[in-house]
Amino acid sequence: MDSNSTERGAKPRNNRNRQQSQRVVRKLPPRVANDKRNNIYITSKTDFKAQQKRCEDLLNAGAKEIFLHCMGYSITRGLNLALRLIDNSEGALSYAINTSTINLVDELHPLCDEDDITYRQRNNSALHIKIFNNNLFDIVVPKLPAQTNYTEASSKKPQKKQK
Amino acid sequence: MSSQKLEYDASLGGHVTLPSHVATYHYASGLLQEIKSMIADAQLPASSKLIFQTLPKHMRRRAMSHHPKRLPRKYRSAHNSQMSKAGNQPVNHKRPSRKYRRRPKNLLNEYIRRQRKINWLETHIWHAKRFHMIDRWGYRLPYASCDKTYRACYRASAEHCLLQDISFYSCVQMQGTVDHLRNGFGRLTSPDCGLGIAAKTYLSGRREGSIQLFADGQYPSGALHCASFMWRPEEQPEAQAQRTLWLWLHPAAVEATTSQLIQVFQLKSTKQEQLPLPAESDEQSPRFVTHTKAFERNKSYINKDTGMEMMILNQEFNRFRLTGPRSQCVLAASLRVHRQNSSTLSKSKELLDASHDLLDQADYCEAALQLRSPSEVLSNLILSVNVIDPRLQRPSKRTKASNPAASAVNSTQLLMMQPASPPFSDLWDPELRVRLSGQMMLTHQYNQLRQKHAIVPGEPCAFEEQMQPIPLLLIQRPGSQQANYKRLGYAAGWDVIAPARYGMALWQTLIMWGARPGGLREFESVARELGVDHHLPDTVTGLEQAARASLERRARYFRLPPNKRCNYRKLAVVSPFKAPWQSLVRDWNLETSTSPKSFYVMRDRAMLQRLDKCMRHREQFPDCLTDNCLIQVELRLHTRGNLESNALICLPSRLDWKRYWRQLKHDNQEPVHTEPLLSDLNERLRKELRLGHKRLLKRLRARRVREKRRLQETSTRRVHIRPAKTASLVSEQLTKMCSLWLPTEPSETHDSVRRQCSREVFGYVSCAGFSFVEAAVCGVGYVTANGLRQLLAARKADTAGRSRQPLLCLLRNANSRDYRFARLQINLNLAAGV
Repeated sequence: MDSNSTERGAKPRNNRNRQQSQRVVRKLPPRVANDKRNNIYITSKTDFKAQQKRCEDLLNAGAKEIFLHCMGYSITRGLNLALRLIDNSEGALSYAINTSTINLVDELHPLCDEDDITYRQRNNSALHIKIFNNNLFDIVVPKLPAQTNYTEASSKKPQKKQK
Repeated sequence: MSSQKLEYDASLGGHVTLPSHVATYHYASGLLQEIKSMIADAQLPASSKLIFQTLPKHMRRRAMSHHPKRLPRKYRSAHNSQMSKAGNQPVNHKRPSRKYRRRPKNLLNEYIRRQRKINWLETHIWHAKRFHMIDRWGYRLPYASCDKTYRACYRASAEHCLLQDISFYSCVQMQGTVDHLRNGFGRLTSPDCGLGIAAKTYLSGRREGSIQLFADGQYPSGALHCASFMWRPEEQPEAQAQRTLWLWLHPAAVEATTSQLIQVFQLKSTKQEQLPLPAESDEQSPRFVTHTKAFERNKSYINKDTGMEMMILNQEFNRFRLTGPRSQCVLAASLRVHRQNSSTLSKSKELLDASHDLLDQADYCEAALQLRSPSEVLSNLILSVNVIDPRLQRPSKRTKASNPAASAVNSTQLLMMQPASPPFSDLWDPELRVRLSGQMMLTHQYNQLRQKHAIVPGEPCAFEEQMQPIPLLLIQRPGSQQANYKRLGYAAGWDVIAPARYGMALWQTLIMWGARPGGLREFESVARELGVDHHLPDTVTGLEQAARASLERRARYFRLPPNKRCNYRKLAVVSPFKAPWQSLVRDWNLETSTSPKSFYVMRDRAMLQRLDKCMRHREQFPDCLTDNCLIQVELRLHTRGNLESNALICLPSRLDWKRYWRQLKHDNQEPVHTEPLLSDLNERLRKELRLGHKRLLKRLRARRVREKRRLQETSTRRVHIRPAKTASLVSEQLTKMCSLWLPTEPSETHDSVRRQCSREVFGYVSCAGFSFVEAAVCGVGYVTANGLRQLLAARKADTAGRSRQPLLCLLRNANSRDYRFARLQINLNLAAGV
């Protein structure tokens, strides 16, 4: 449709001062399609301690590796959590980090009758931290770098760094 | 009289002689007596015989007194009453045997009889076996499962799939030109509340919209209901000016809304029509004949001048509500798209040829159902799809629908791409609907055919391909859309509209794919988790709900023994069972002289946004608020304490702030303030009244006993004591006692609500409880504008140094004395989740 022109650009930092003619509706950020247990999505709302406990429980239950996914504002929280986990493990855990960019689409709902719905595409940076057990006695075929089959991220692959 | 003739007695030597003449008046008076006694005898037979004893011999039967069926039918009732008076219970009507009752014909008759008074949903029998059923809005509806599934239903709505039957929503079909509809609905709503009915984004029929309805021209007061609507997509663009619209109305508001629609569009019922008779001559005035329809399947109304039509489609559709991210999987598993190259799809095919890169409805629907969560699709999207009979799509055992493999279409692409054609559906066509339900293969027939044809159990048969496909409409519901208000995408899901009679087939398939069934209780709990109120307190539905809830609470209160009732007079709670909005608004009115206007809830989006900014960013409080409006707020306790509906929202005083800071420092979880106990002046009155009443009853009884004794001395028969007949006395006492228990009505005196306790009350909580999404006790309440202004002013003065402090208010339950602080925020999207 012609009316559904998409608007490109970053999410404005605050739309407090802008005259709003549209109501912004966020969609859920995309998630990995195969929802295994060892994918953990860091949010800014969840209690830090609770997330730490969840990761530790997973690792103690015998998971070889867990993935922490964090996006935008929660990247620092994710990094903190990963470092905390590794500090607490006394050398049993190590990590690998991938970065990616995620396409997000916002719906812009009109506030007057004559307009139709429009979309705004924006990108957001994301971090995928793999935390794994580097136990010497386990013979594990190393699989690096971590292949997260992020549907959105893998299609674009803007910049992939290995730390 | 001749005296020669020998008279009988005298001739025999007796002394009785007949008189020579008779005085007529003596004779007449004698006859009169006779007739009187005859009539009295006929009316009240004084014979001490029983009915069956009066029968002639040839009509008597053995053991007649025992078995009334052996009497002729006309004597049976008299016999029964005679026997029951004598103390012998006559033979009761025996309940027919279970075998008889369960015969299909008798069972069906019984079901039809039971549906005469109250409507059933199509899934009624399924629900009645598993759910607590209650009467609501003329329907018998499932309230909650007999199992303990409160938390399970929350988990289903948050992570799996919660399934609810909302077929009780009634559909009203409006037909007319867009201009007429726009103008008519323009009178019933206001552009402040959101998009109008003919907004461009809804008019194509791709999205479902919702609209706040008010009584004609009475905005902002006189709210009716928040209704959702959908337009029928145009088959040929610009070919016809008439468009069709479906309004989905809550059953409590149907009557009020349709009467408003009739008034606005000037519609007339088609049940009675006046048809003009052909005029015989010109000078005669035109004559009419009134034509009355004996039976109307759906009530319809028409306006002949504008061509506007309205039809109330009752029980024409099944509407199922699926909530939760897994509803995608459940739908994908239970709906298989029916593909055929017949003429019905020709229109969409033509359009498809024009643009190859767009998916048609069926493909789009399949792709959309492959996504991970329903909230990734365009919000309020309508999809139309023809599916094969859902009975063919059942797993052999109840299984959880698994996540589909990674979809071929990218979710962002799918969101921005639209299906090639708008959602045409056969459901819009009344004749097709009738044919669909008429040609449905019954489950019994289906099972018999399977028995005959299926060689390998569980494998598909040849005849199954001939079963008719059913058209469905799928409507996306976005759930929570504000990330800073509630968890993003919570309560997202799909609504499925299916034709009549297919309800049970579809329902069972959805259940077999792992959907969790929920009832009316789950509407309340999902709304609470979402932080919205489905029925705002000024709407028709809200008023009805509040009245029902207050009656229930009151009845429960007086069922308790007196020492278990909390004394609301001591607790200083004026209105313990319902929120007295009208009195609250009156007390907060600045100009006291004005006549009382009815309260209303602020729905103006721009105004709510300004208020929100003012609360978050300390901007100037908007001045143009009227005095009698209420503002919806979401409340959250972040310390201990529980919150119930009808709790008081109060303004904190300076002392409370001081104590709050001190308690924060010491990690003290005690309530900030405790209401001092008032003395109850009525306590003595109640005691006196009770004693007096008891004494009176005792005296009356003693009088009756004395009377009986007196009678007993003279009577030969057994004397019974006279019945008490004190029912009116007792009920009078009960009402008097109840009024002494409860506080005085708040509408009587000024400032009775605002200054009812030691803190000023400026709002009430309408629904509250523990929210699993927030892991805190949350609630939705309404506050007055002037109270909010005072709270904000006090915050400015008190917490000057602490600028990051969120807005807090005091809360107190109606049955407690403890005040606690709670966070306060404004919900910008009042119609969310409806």
